[in-house]
Amino acid sequence: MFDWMNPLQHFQLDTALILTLLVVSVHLTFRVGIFSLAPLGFAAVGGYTAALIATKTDQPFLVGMVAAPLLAGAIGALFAPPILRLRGIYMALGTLALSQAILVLIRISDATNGPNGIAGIPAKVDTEYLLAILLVTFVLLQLSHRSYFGRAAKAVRLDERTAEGLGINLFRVRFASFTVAAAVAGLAGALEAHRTTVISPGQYGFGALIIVFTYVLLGGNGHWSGPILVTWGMTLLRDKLEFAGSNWEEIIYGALLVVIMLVAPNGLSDRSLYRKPRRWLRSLRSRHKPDTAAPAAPAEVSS
Amino acid sequence: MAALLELTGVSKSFGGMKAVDNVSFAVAEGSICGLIGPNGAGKTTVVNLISGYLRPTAGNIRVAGTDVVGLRPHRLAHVGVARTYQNLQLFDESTVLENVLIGRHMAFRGKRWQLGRTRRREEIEQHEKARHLIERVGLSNVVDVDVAELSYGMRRRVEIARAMATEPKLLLLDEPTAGMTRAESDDVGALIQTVNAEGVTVLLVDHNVRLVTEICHRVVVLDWGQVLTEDGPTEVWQDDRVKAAYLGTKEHKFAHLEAPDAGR
Repeated sequence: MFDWMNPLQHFQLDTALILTLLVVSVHLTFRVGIFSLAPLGFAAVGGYTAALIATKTDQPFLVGMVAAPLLAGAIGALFAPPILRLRGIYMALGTLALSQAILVLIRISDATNGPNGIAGIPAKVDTEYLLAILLVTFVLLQLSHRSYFGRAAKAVRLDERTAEGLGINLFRVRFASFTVAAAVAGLAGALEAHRTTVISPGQYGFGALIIVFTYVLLGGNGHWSGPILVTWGMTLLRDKLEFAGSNWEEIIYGALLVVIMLVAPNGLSDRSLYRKPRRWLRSLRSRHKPDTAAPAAPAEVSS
Repeated sequence: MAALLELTGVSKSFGGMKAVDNVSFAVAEGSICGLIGPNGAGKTTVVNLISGYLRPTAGNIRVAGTDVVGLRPHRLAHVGVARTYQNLQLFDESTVLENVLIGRHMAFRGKRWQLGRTRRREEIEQHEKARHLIERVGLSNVVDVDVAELSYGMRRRVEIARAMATEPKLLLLDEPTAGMTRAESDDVGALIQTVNAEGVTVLLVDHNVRLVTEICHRVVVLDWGQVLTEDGPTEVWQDDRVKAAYLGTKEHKFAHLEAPDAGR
């Protein structure tokens, strides 16, 4: 299916698809107002779980792929209660500490082969596989976005005290989101391990996290498609265009970030950005269907 | 009639300051009770105590026979307490419908794992209920408009609809007519009366003397964190202490300084 691509392009595509999964994980926490620096720690848990099962046991590949998100999710669930008691910068610090503790454990443990990492993981993940997983993820994200849980998540992010007053269990919403986000990050880690066949603790560093955060912030919290479209757009820009690799790359990339932040300070999926187009659409619709109970003309609404 | 809301000896101090001092009153089920008093009397603190945002330093609060002291706000919502906020607390990035739908959140309890057609039917049912509430507060022409685009009076109504969406037994309204024109506050008054006619008990905090006199069955007057008096809505204004609290007398202004243990 992807034979027409050269190996470099193919590699970049797979990288972007796995990155998308990490972006989804971060979006899931941002969506409920959790600022978590832990996703790469969970990705490491997933990656090492899959790698160890594949190299040390003769279990089939799928066992590792199921165990990785389960273990990452379980660790997330275990540490969610203390972390969710924290606020703001302290919550970020708590998640950073958790992530670092995981990486240190991996680095000093014999079972994980310390700083050298694990090589010889069977290459089982191809592009079709990644696309299938992403498709399922997107369907689940959209179902959740439109459900009562999605509404509650949004309410919690926008104003947690008011959400609580309306009967939303703040802790439950955040706990579920944090745990699922950990599992998704674990899945991303496992896929990455089975794609590159080599993992080491060094690859879960801060640099990768900064990129993921940038994409999620540019994409905004309004809808999950925002961060994902930004991820794909930015990847295309960085890898495909003529200036890739030249000095211009960083300059243009930086300028683009500044422009987007100026135009859309709350990210590209911010609702208020689309107020005017939506108003216009509404007036268009009411003109075409004069028989329906007249929706408000914009003039009556604005005050 | 039985009391739906009962406060006994409730106090709340912030540091050394007693914002609410040994307050006791009861609101009969099915009534509209006004809670009035000059600025800084502790009205909003009382509302925050009842709705679980603050925990009293002393005393007891019962709603529908349940001791609610120490319950988190979301548990209180399940007991049947809903409120509006003095400074509007709407979800600004959302439409009117979405705001009211969040109020329907509790209706999804126990139906978490429904999928497919049952789930869809549930969603449609909740959407219909939300639309019905929006219609009742007179906003059906702006259902799909972002609340940030609405006028102040309209936003106040969205907040009332959202509180009603939780199907409360007790509705706490913290200055629902603040900043409204006379016509707008009359509309809100009529709305409160129809809500009350359906059996919802209302505790109304407001500065609008005319509104409180017209629609409340009882009025509790608060001053310096203490209950000054409790009486019928017209009788309460005959009380010299109430007049003094509102209009001020020399003695009243400095009363709290002369009796430090009673002041705040």
